[in-house]
Amino acid sequence: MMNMGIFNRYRKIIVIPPFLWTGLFIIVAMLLLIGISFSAPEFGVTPYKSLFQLKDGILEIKPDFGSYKILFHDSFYLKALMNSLKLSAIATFFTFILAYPMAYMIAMSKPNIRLLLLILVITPFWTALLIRVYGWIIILKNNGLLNQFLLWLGVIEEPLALLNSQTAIVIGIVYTYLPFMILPIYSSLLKIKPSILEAAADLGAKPFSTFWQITFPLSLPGVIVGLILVFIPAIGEFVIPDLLGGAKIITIGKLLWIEFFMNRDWPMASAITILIILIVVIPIKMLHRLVSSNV
Amino acid sequence: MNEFTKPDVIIRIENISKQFKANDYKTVDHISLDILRGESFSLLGPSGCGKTTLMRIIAGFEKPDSGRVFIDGIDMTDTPPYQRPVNMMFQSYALFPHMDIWNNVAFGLKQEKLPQSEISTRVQEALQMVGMYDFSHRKPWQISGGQQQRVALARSLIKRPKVLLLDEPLGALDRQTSEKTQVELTNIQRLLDITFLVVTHDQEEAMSMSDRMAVMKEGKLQQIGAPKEIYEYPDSRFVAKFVGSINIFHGYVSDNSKKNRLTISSDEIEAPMFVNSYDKLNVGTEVWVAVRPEEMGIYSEPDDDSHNHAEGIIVDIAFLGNQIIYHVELKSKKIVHVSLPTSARSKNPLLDYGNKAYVSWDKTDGVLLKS
Repeated sequence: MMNMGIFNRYRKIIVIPPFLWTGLFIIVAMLLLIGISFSAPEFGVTPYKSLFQLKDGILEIKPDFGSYKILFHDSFYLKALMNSLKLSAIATFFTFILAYPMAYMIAMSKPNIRLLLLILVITPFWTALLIRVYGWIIILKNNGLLNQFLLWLGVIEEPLALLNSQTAIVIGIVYTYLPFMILPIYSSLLKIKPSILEAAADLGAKPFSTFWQITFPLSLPGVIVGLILVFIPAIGEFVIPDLLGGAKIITIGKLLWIEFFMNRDWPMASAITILIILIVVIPIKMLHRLVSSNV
Repeated sequence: MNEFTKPDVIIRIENISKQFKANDYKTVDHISLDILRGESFSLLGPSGCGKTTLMRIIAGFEKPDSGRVFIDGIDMTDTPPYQRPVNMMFQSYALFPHMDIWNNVAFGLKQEKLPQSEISTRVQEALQMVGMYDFSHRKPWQISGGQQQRVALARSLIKRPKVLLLDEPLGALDRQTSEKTQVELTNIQRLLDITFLVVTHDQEEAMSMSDRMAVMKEGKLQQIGAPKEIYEYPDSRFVAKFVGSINIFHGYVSDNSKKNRLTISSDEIEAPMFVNSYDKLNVGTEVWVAVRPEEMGIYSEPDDDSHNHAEGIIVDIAFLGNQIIYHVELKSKKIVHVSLPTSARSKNPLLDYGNKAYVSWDKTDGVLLKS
């Protein structure tokens, strides 16, 4: 018990750095973000007016709701947001459809093969995202590999306009985020004790029923983590829609980039970010509660 | 079963062998065995002896390399587990963690697509039988280990299997719960008139729960019989040592002239040993004489009434509550264990640490072992 006490004390010391890290880079950053979103835009080196002003020795806080007003009144922003949510949802769905069987197969294979398959899943990460997404341009463009292959097969007579479409964005997201879905599902499948599946078979459940009544429900925590890990970053994704989606498809990620770098409207960019966070965090919190009460 | 009825075999195992790829030995090595309808049968052996694998072959979780498994007269060697009329109570209970107790127990019946009303009645009956009806809506992690086991029992009985397979049924329970559960299991077995096949490494568990038992070692059956029979007449040193504690003397046959009796001379004991045997072994045959600690007497003076004697010094006395074990060191440095009921101890104060003692047993009490 003495040792445990020492262990606990050290544990407290060990967790200080991550807490500091989180505190600085998440909480402080969030506060800054909220602050900027309530400031008025301005031309200058810092392109916004400070929220806090000293007037006759008194500190004044003057929030400016201008950015939020535009955000909610100009349907352009909300449309971009809706488009991003839609694309992200579709992509997350297909990622899941592809990832589950892969995760299942990896989890069910023998330990030595399992390791090899896991390495294969992670290998693409050794190449930069930009290069991997750029690779898809070569595959998807009008005289790209895919079109040439389909023409050669005789399935199509004219090249398909695959690049610069919503489909291309979805393909890009599915490809990029697949490992984020596979790994959590794999790990929750691995946690299911073989004896539980044997018990189901012993009680008369055929393999198909065992899967739907036992395996799938028990893998749900992993599924939900996977859905969150894909859906959220995909909403704000910039590189993929920019490279594969062309100029016409506006997503919230691209808009954010435009506001920040082209228009230099930091308050607007911050307000968009806050909106995304609110829209994303609340459903996650609800999902989380649902899962933790269920399993 | 009496001599006029033919033995009614519920499980017949014919020449089953199984070798796992990672091993260079057979986990189950040419085993043949009949289990009778309505009996409680135990497979007893140390870990790694193949008892669990044999049970898993019967349940259908493992495929034997050779041999056949018949359940109630039908060859089920290639039948998948979900079509076999046997159910298993898992050692870890293997309750479905995402289902409440009710749905865990109902699972087996739901697979048969029975009407909801019948499922309800039977689940309620099963839960009431094991006293867990009030916990129907709890999840498995919300109840204790002993309670989980009751649920596992109800779940494995609900389909009225022809044979219930129990994998180390008392292994994970504390001593008190385990004793209680043992009695309950036996009662349920008699009440439902169901065949039990128990796998255990605990000889007390096997002896108290079964009508017959088989002792296994390294994939082979060593001895099959009623617990009492195996305890009193083990036919090898392995079985003798594994089932209860025993004193074993190594020696050679020195005289076989008397009918049904052999004289054994041993380096471990001075006087020649006499033992009953219908088997007339040649002089010079290597044998072992096994004597249970409770069949030996211990005295502070020589006992002339018994056939076999040895003299030694008491080096340890272990008090076990209901009995006392005397550790007596003979002149050959061989330690002999003698157990007496606690009530007998006060009779002789001379039986104490460091004192001289005489152990003895009758020629009818020793068992002759040839291996």
